Amino acid sequence: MAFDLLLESIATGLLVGGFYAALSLGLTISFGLTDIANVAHPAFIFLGAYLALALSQAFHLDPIVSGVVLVLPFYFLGNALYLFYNKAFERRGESSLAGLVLFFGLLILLEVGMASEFGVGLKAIYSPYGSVALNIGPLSLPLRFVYSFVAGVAAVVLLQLFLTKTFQGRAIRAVAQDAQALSLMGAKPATVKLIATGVSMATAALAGGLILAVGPISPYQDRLLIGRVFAVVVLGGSGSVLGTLLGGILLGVSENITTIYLGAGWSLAVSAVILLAVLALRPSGILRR
Amino acid sequence: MKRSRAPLYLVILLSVGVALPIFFKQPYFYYASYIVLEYIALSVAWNLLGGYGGYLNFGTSAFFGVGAYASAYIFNSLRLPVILAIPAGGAMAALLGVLIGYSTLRLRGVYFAIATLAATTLVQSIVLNTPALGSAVGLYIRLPPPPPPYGNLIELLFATLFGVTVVSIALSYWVENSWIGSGLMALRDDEEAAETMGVPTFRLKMFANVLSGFLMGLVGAFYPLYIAYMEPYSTFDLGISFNVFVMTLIGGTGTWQGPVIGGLILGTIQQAASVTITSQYNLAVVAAAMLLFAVLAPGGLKGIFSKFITSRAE
Repeated sequence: MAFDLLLESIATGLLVGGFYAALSLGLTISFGLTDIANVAHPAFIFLGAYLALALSQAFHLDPIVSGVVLVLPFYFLGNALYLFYNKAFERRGESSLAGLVLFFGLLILLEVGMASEFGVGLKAIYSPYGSVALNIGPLSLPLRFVYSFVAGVAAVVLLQLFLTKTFQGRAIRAVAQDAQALSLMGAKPATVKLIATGVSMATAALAGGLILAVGPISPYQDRLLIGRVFAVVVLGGSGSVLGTLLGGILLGVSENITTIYLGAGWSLAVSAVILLAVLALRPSGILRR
Repeated sequence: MKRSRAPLYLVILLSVGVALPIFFKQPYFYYASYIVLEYIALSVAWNLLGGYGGYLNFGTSAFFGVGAYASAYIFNSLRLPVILAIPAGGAMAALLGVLIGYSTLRLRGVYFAIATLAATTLVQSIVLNTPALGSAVGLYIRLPPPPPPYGNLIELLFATLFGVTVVSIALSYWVENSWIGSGLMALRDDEEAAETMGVPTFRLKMFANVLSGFLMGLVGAFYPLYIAYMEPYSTFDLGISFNVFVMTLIGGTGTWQGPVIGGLILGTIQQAASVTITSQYNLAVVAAAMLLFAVLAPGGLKGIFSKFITSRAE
């Protein structure tokens, strides 16, 4: 009995881990590869979730499908965000530290904006698989987590292919290593970062759809994600996409095991402990870039 | 300004703050001013590491909350005198500063900023899961009777917090004009170059982080007496941390006047807005002001003032 419970919590943690990876991918690109510490990323995910909710309600779409539909608009939103960041901060030669302040301001504005536009209460969408479980042997896995895991892993694979096989993707990885050398090779770092921020924000749209599929949403929940996404990205080795998947799974499993043994009240502390421990002991993460 | 006169101004200012509540009775004035003073003192403390050293602390509410809970536990649960509980709150927050400092001050500034966010979550989780600290339910504070000559607890709180604020400003003035301040500013501009020139960068950052944490904890230690009922969500609210660094940035970082100006002006605007409009948009007003300043006037209000003065002088 106790063993079954442990097994099930590990399996669910694994599924949640794929979901966490999807939430963190955008930060892996912006923070890990282009040195833009976008603390507002979780707030943008919730913006994606609220827009996905509106889309799903208007056209009777599945929340995950709505998230995918929003990917392109969010790509352009990311482009616009980078243009602003570049004009206001980067070109002035200010560090990513000054950018942190900008993103913190955006985080607060997005929160207040969503709270006044959509209300502070919980909002949810009905989906036919919302309360269905997949039974495999002794395990009973919620279908909404299975789907979000599959979507998360698919996003990881696509992003990894993009970063390793395409010219733009390789340029994004190169800008992280040596922006000056990249500009000597004929690619403008600013253009590369424009694309990277677009891709980063595009993943927020998908993540928003997944969050909506997983459970009800409310405007200030993004704060519960800030520590988690940074823990996943730092754990995965800041900039490694496969590391992000691994980091997400480690966090998901640790949170679930902690919940069983210590109670749900400690689940938020897990990501904080992981983040502080990794920063103190192994800042380069488990997988070096 | 001559330096020799500074202690005199300090004594005059302190006596005004201590005497004011004895002669001027207006409870609402003290309730509102208390919050403004709180933000001035927190901003001054934040500026020590964030302004001079360039390491942004996003966890002001962690230091503030640790001070608040430590002091509440000591006088409320252990029934020890309040006068012991206040410095103990500061000391606990300083200890938090040592822990965070050792684990993250060797890393780039961005990582320090994120670590302070994580530390806030961790401390909040500990309080949420500790029945002795009231867990999620919260703590009701047994308020002591006001000692004469003050007729009301809020008058005493105003007078003491006023004293703490003035002392914090004096400390910050001292740091700015000593080798500690110069060293911090040197490492803010170029940490590697400062290190090469023999500036003990890690020790300076650590000193600034611990002193700043101590002052934040000290301010927090008064909070249970002011609020009378404490719970972890509002005590460790991210909004506190946000307000504090925005007030410092808008006032102007890296000078002792900046956080005083920013805290005074933005704190007063927020208090006025809470009464006249609604508190829901408090943070949004501050956030919008910050984005405007970050883009248009990176030097903050202090920068604008000094630009204006120098252009007049030319």
